[in-house]
Amino acid sequence: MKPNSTPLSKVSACSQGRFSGRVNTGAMNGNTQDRIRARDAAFRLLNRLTTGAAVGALAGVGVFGAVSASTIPGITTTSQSASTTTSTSTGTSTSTGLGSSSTPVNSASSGSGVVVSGGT
Amino acid sequence: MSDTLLWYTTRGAGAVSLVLLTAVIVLGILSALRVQAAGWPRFLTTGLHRNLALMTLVFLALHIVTAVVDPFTHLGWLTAVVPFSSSYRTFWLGLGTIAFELLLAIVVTSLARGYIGHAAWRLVHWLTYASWPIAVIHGIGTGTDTLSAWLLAITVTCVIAVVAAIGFRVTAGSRDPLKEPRTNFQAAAQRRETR
Repeated sequence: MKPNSTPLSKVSACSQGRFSGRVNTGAMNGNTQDRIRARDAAFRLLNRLTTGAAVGALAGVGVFGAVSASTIPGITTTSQSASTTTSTSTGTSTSTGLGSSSTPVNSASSGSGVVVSGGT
Repeated sequence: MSDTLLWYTTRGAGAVSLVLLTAVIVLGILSALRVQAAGWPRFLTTGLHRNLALMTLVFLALHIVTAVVDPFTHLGWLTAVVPFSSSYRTFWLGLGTIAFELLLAIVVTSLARGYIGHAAWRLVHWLTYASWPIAVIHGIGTGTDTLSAWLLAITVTCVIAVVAAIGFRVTAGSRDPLKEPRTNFQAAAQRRETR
């Protein structure tokens, strides 16, 4: 018997020969592969966008925090001495050199303050 | 950690949370409209919507924790849970608590969607349209930087984005690809029952 010299690549993989001519399995496999590749690319894009959003949000906290600190620092920058004296004999009181700030105070400014109660 | 650093972090995290929440809303609307394009399949919108929603919760947690532990305001942990229980800016902080709890409910029901069913999930998800404006009003009312140009620009941009997305949704209508076949099937079923 003469040995078959046809290479395997020429042999159809389809077990049902009568359908092999109608069904384009090569195109179908190619289409599926394209869809798989597109799905993988979309997943990679999703991961990149999520990571980017997380990094951007973290950076945003820093940037917005810095901007908010520069616009409304919330601490007094002036440091003035304050003194309040009260005379019990005359019943008059004087106040000089009181520092104040219009911005919301989050920590007190330094300075010496003396409060003496009394008087009429 | 200094008091001022906590305060700055609270304000920064609040602004970022607003931006993230806005992005989540817009992506949710685009997801409902089944928007897709070449290289941008529908699941990408849905996936990004879900990931950003979870991320929003993280940054909201940062916003709340830094606000609570800030010794200047003495908010206390109860304020983060019970609305209008704070002595400091009671109303505006209460709105923030409500917005956070609504968002928490939306995220939890989304994660448990398989257990609670589509109808209950959808019902809770409609609360998003209440949560976002409440959060914006909270930011405007209680925010230290409300009148600052940078936060004003962020707020206005977010409002425009959400209003545009809602307008797009209202005008575009349903893009359910099965709407017509479903309607035809229901009509055929009714005709068959009447025979």
